[in-house]
Amino acid sequence: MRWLRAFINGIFITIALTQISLAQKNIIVSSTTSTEQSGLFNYLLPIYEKTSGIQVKVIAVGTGQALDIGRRGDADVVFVHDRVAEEKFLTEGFSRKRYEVMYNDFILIGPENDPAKIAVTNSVQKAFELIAHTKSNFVSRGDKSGTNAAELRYWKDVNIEPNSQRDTWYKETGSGMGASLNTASAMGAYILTDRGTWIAFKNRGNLKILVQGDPKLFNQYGVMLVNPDKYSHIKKEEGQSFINWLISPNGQKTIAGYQINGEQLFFPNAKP
Amino acid sequence: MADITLTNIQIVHNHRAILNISNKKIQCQSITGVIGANGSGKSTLLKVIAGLIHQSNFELLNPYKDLVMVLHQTPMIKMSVYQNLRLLKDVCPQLTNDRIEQVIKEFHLDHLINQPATKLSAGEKQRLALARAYLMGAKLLLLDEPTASLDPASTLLIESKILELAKTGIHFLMASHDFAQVKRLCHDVVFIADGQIQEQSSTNLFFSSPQTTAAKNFIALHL
Amino acid sequence: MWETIHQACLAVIYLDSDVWQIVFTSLKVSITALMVGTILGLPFGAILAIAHFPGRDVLITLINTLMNVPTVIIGVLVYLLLSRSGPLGYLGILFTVPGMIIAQSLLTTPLIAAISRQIISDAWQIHREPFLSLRLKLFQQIKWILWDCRFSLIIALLAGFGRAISEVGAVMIVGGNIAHHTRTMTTAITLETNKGDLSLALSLGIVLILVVLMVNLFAFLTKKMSEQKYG
Repeated sequence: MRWLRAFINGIFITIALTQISLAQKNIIVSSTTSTEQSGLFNYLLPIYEKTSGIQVKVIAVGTGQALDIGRRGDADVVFVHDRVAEEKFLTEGFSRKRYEVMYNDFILIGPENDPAKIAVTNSVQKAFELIAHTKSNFVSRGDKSGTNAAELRYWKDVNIEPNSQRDTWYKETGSGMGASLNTASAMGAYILTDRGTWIAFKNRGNLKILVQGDPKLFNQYGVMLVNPDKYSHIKKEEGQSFINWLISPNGQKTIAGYQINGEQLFFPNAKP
Repeated sequence: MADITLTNIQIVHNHRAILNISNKKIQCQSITGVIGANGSGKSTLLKVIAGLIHQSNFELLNPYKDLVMVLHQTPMIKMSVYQNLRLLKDVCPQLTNDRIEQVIKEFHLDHLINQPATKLSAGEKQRLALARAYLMGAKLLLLDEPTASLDPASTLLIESKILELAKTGIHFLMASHDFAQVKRLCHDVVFIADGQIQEQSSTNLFFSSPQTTAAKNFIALHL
Repeated sequence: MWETIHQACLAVIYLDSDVWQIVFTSLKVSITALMVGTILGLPFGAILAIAHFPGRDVLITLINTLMNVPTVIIGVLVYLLLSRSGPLGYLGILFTVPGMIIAQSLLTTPLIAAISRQIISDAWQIHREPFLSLRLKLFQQIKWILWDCRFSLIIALLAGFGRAISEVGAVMIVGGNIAHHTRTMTTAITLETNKGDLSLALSLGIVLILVVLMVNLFAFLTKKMSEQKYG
């Protein structure tokens, strides 16, 4: 029947059409939800694409997952913010070199009425102690992300081990930064977030920045090329080209140029 | 005239024996009637001969290669009358469109040729089913109570068609519960009761002097 | 909340090209998955309805189960298959549209097969003996029973499309929600909600609902038309 043949032809043509866009050079970068949700990539990547002709496709998940995607060889480059996890990635041999790119800071957000009264201190460790002692609602990422790793380090520093089963004030969402902020906003809870995501976040409710500026809140971003010796398909030239651009004066200037409402979100600090 | 030999036919449904024929020969004249009470196994017998019901222990000796059954009611496919006939090209590739149109005319269906077949009246559907069986080149047609649900006018149309086709040498084995119809059309009858072929004889002989008790009771009940 | 909805409606009317790209990606993936599901699912459903063979009941139970499996599970399975560390990694189609099409085809095909099996099974009760008396071969029986049931089967196809276009688990995991490449309406809605941009999430939601609405309207009209013509 003619219509049957036409129908099947239609399928093949459609599938073929979906492939056409792949003619351009491209790489896959696995990064974190907080970085994507800050809007940095939307700003940065078109600029990079114009100068290099390379399309950058970003998968945004938690830091732990981003590194796992790299371990499976499903990304060419990983771009995350958890130094300890990144160094483990290196020693496991999944990358040969780590480059520091930029930093921002973490901030401690909480409800306006501040039941734990943490606003008086500018020490993140003191703040965490107060939250635990007053059993105030605290939202945790609980997802192997860079932010989560930092949060867990602060708890460890003050010898507190919150357990979401035993401590009902400690809520683990297992989600990205934005989703967790939504949850914190809805329940008026304390939450640790990176400044970039916070500036871009639109559903703040009655949440405010309560603690910032503590040197311990420093959040370093690193980028690594997945080891081409482990996976032969890794696009090492294009991947390295992207990394080189990020740490180049041009790339660093572009990063510094990203602002929301006049506020700079990320501070370039690549070593020359 | 040719004979159909049936051996070892045992059909059981819901623990009820519908047909139980160990060894019988059916002599099929020009138009042979199959009569019996409701549930006696008439339809089942026809379906067995047509090959619609089959079990491994059957033995069916049937000289007719081209035999087609027309069911009591034939649901048509949701397309036009013409298309329902044209689908026969799948099984008879040598069938031409001209031949199809010719048969449509012969069966007085030309005014319905493009109508949705599912919307035909019962009589028209039966004519269409008959036309389809005829188009398949059947030499023996098995009809299962073809006019049971039709009005007298449609019944007449179908009967005259059957007689017409019989004149061209096509044999008919027709189940019916209408005595008058059987007397009108059939030269011989086969009488079934309790799943067994009880009697076979010419129509006149059967009705005037039935041999078995079952036959006698059957005729008495339906008169 | 009303303010958000109001903004969302305005945004729908003045949609920008990014949003249209997202809508187009959704349609591309789900319509192709629908076509695959149709070509594979319809004949398979017909065979299950008509033919009797050992293992038939097992297959029927299997597709009825697959029909309802949570989409994330399909997403994880396909991800593991297509990952570079997985058996089909050499194809390199993880995080691409073809990969998403494969994942969604695994959703549409069992659904279409299961529903069409039921529809055809019912029709087969009626048509079985006439088809046998016409001496049609198996593939011819399949052809004609599919044709006869075509109006009801459209409902099966639209159910398949509905499952594909509105799911988020499989396309998120297999596609990666990459901006301008594998972002669909559902993954974009998830992203925008997580960014706290509820108004944009709602706009996309409105477009999605409109698409599903049109599809269901089409199904309804088709059924009505068929009933009028064929009774």
